[in-house]
This record gives sequence, structure tokens and C-alpha cells, in this order.
Amino acid sequence: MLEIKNLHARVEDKTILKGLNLTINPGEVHCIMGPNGSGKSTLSQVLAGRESFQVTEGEIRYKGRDLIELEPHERAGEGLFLAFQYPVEIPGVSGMQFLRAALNAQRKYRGEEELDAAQMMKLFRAKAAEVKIDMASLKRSVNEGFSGGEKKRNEMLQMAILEPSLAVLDEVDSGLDIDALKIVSDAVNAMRSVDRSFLLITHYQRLLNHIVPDFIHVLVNGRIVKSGGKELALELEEKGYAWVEEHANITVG
Amino acid sequence: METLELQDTYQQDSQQLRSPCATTGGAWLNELRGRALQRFAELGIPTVKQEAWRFTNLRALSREPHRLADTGNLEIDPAILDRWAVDEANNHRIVLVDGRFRQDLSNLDGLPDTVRFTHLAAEWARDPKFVESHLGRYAPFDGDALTALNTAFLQDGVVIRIGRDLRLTEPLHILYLSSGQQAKRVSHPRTLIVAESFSESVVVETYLAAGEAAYWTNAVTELVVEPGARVTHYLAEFENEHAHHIHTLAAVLDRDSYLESQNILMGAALARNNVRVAMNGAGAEAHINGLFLGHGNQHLDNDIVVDHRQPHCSSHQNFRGILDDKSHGVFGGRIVVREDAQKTDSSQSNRNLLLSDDARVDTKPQLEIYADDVKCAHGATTGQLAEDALFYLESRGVEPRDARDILVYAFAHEIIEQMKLLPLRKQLEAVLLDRFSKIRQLGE
Repeated sequence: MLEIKNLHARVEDKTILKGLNLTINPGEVHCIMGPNGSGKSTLSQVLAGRESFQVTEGEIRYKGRDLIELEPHERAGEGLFLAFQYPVEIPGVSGMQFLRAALNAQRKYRGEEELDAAQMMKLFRAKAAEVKIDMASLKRSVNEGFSGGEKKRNEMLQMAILEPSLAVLDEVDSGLDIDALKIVSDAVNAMRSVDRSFLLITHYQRLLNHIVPDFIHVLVNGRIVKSGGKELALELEEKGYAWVEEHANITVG
Repeated sequence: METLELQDTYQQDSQQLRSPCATTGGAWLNELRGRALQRFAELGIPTVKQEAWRFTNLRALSREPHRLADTGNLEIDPAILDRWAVDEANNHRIVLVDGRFRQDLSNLDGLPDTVRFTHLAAEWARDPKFVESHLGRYAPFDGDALTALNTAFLQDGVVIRIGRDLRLTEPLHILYLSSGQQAKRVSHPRTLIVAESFSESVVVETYLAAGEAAYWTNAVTELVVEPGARVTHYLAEFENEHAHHIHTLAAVLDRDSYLESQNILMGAALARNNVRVAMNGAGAEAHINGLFLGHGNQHLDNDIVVDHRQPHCSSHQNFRGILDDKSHGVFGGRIVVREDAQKTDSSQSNRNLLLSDDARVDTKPQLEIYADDVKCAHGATTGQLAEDALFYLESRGVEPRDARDILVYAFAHEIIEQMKLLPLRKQLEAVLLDRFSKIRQLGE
């Protein structure tokens, strides 16, 4: 599904990713953890194609194609979805309009027929029910005046409706209370399938009590310094990031 | 020398006008016109040296005189007018071509007896006292050269009178059509609206052209809202893009009255929209909203003055500009709160979106407050499309060009959604659609 090799990326003059390697197969859930400033969010922005993040070295292959060559909207058309750490408010555009524009743009990109308003509505209802998220928010302007929890739930609703093959969830757990965290995690779990992959990016081990990943990677200073199964989270929780940071220094040094 | 030639021409043309009230006396009207012409001669066409015209240059109007547009009974394809209909079912419309009433294109029937919806000459013949007691009373020209010029050329126009207590939900539509066949021609449309006590009405003024010549429209609308009456007034400016368009709405609000003024500037090479609202009675309320949408080399200027003269009144201005290419927008908003106008609640907001590096906006809020117990909020912002919102849309699969269009539409939408007249909203959305292609797919 996704293959990242020796990825170097920078923002302005600052190099953030310094040789990152990661392979995600269909159906797998990977989690990247790491301290502040390790490059977690840079990775998600690079994957989604944000212009200000420059890839200087290495490659990213997605479904066998060179991802870096694709525009952000083309990546979405190819089934890549990024749940934003800070979802953007768009006053004047309802969630419904936003999703209609997005879904039909993706369908057009894939050469599928566009859906009319009634078909859309039917689809939205079915998908919202699958992930058990209330659709009422779609009547309001996108994210405008939403609480932190509402914004993240809304990202999950978008994900359910757009049905990506690879979903990158950037700190989808930050700022949530337990109830909201449960709703978001349940939505992710409901969408897990053999041909859909997830990349969770988080600062906290807490999320992994609700979504159990197949692999955990620890990102320090722009590189993955340790990978393992779900038990790695517990070890991290116990020993803290300092432990891997030390470990990283030893391996790098 | 140029100025002399200009004055001479206007003097000559004004004196040759036939009077609408020639047959029934009306010396007062001739006297009014004479005074106005005199005043115009003293003031001249405004220049950028005057504060109120700092950003809007009328040199094209002062360089050479504009002769009165007169195309006689030019044949007009009704489809041009139908396109801008605001109420297909009833279609109460009055059409003036180059300032002259056109019976053949108008539809004045089917209204309640307590509504007058007619042209000036007819109303003069029917009820000269009524005309005399209102016309020229609400749009002072002492400090306003262009209103003076309009008054000097008072000949025909539109008179609307909404009878006491009448609730008229069907909109009254005035279409001022310029033939646009010849350059350097001017018309001076004049509209008088009298909303009697506790009446409710909706009036739409649409300005448009049949041809592509560079004409000039110099319009004045006088509106009096009597105690407890409610008026919604729309200005829909869809002139051709070579035209100069000057419009002055002079509104006087009496006790507990309500005015909603919606202003759309889309056409013209240069448009200047003056809205003058006098809060003359306690408890009056005014909402003045506008959307100006410029592209090419258009220059679109809104100049709003709200004069709070009595206590417990509220006025709210909300204007949005979207400027593309090399267009230039101007927003001037002045709120005056006089000593007696305690408990005034007033606000003003102007937000602008620049879509190109060459587009420009000048915005200048002015507050003059002489009372001490008032609320006056104002704010202005000018910016470009939010980068993070564009990326958010693109990350969901929307193409960059479409993402831009969606955000532009969203920006305009906040003003559009306040317009309760659906057909007009559709016209507006159609123009937006024309300029920003993606909107079609958004739906309601």
C-alpha cells in the first residue's frame, strides 16, 4: 500500500525528516509515536502533499505509484485521506456541500459517475450509521464553532463517507475527553478491513487502548528508531521517550 | 474652459427639457430645477481632492459633457428584462428606457388600490400635491453636485406610494434600462418611494443596459419610511462594463420604522453607490448590506452615511467585496451619532477578498459620535483566500481551481443569504457562477 524509503523533508530551511523508512501493507494499522518535534506532523503533511513541506531525498510509493508527483487532490482521488490535527473552519460552506464537492471530485477523478443530491444523502446516511456518528453537524458550516471533539468526529465522518484505502490520522486523539475518544476510536475500528490501511500518529499511548495497531514505530529526530508490535506502547509508557531517545543516540552515534 | 463648456451644455440641455407638469402648473418644480442647476454650476463634478471622492476619480465625466440619452421608442427585446425578473408570478414592473417611462414594457396592473406604482408624470397629473409634498425633500443637493444635477434634469421617474397599514408581499420592480447605443450619453433616473405608516413593502431597482456603449447613469432615489413602516430596498446594479453608474439612495426613517437596504454592485466600469440614511425618529432600525464583485478594470465604490438624530435607533452595515484582476473596490462608511441620539446601537463591518495581486481595496470607516451612551462597533479586513482552507479542500479531492471558487462563494454567501428575494439571489448566484465555475455543484 505505502512504501517510504529514506525520506528526507524540510520546512523552509529546516530539515525535519532525515531518512525515514516505513512500509504499510493492505489491512494493516500502523502507529507512529514520538516526542514533540520528532517529525510526526511533518510526515502527515508530506503524505497529503502540502506545498510548504519539501521532499529533498528519498521516495514514497503509494499503490505502486510515485506519490510525490501527485497533487494533493489527486492523492485524495487515489484513496489517501488525512485526518487533520487541526481541522480547518470554512464559514459559509456546509458540511454537506463540502462532502458533495469532495466525493464527486474524487469520483470524477476515478472516472466514476457523479452522484446526485438524493444518492449522496442516502450514502451519507448509510456511512454515518456504520460509524455511529450523528450527521447533524453536516448542516452547519464546516468546523465553524465546533468544539475540539466535534471537529475530530467530523473528520471521522468525512473519512467514513470518502472511504479511503489509506487513512492517515494525525493526532486524532489530542484534546478529546474519554467519550469523544471512544466515538473516534470506534469509528476507526468499524472501518478496519483487509484492504484498508491506517497510519495513526499520536503523542499518547492512551489512543492504543482503544485502537489496537499491528505495528508501532517510534519516531525520534526525523527517523524511526524503534519498531515493534503493540507491546512496544506499554514499554514506552513505562520508560518514556527518553529511553528511546537515548537508544537513538547510541544507534546513530 | 472645459468646465465652462460642461456647464453650458448642461444648462442648455436642462432648459430644453419639457416639464412633466407643464400642463398643470408646477412652477415649484421649475424653480427646484433652476436652483439645482445653479448649485451644480457652483459645485462642479466632484474631484479626488474632496475627501468623499478621494479614491474615486470621475475625470471621464468632467472631461466632456454627456448629452441626454434619448433614443425615442427604441425597440427593446423583453427577454433582456425578463432575465432579471424578481417575481415571475405577479411581475409588477415599471420600465424606463434612458429615463423615459415605457408603458409597453411595464406591467402596473393587479395591485391593491392603496398602492401607487406609476411614473412621475402620471402621478403629477393625478395628485400634484402629493408629489410636491415629497419630491426633492429627502435628497438634499446643497452639498452634493450629482444629486443637484439629477434634480436639474428632473423630468420623469418612478413614484411608489404604499398606503397605510398595507402589507404588500409581492415585490415592486423598477427596471432602469439604458439603451447603450451611443457613448457619452446620460440619464438621470429619479425614484420616489413613500411608505406610509405601518405598511410593509419590497422594492427592487435594477439597472441594466441593452447596448455596449459607455453611457452614464446618474440616479437618485428618495425614500421615506413613515412611523412603524417596513421597507426592503434592493439595488441591483448590472450595468454594462463601460458605463458610469452613480446611485444615491436618500432614506429618511421615522419613528419605529425599519429599513433593509441590500446593495449589489456587479456591473459598470465605475460605480459609486451612495446610501444616506437619516434616523429621524426614535426606535428606527436600519440594516444596510452590500456585496460588490469586481473583475477586469472595474471600480466599485460604496459610500454609506448613517445619521443618528434620535435616541434608541439601531443601524447595522455589512459589506463584502470580492475583487479580481485589476479591479478596485472602495468602502466608505460614516456613522454620525448626534448629541440627542442616546442609546444608539450601531455597527459596521467591511470584509474584502482580493483574488489577484493587482486588485485593490480602500476601506475607511468614520465614526462621529457626540452622544455619550452609545454602542458603535466597526471593523474592516482585507485578505486573500485562506491557504489552509484551500489545502483542506484539496486534500479531500477538490481541484485547486474549484477549491478557490468554493471559498469565494462561501465568502459572498453570508451577504447573499440575507437576501430574502429568491429570484434575485438566483440572479446573483448566476453571475457568481459565471465568474466562478464550481459553484453550480454546491447546490443549496
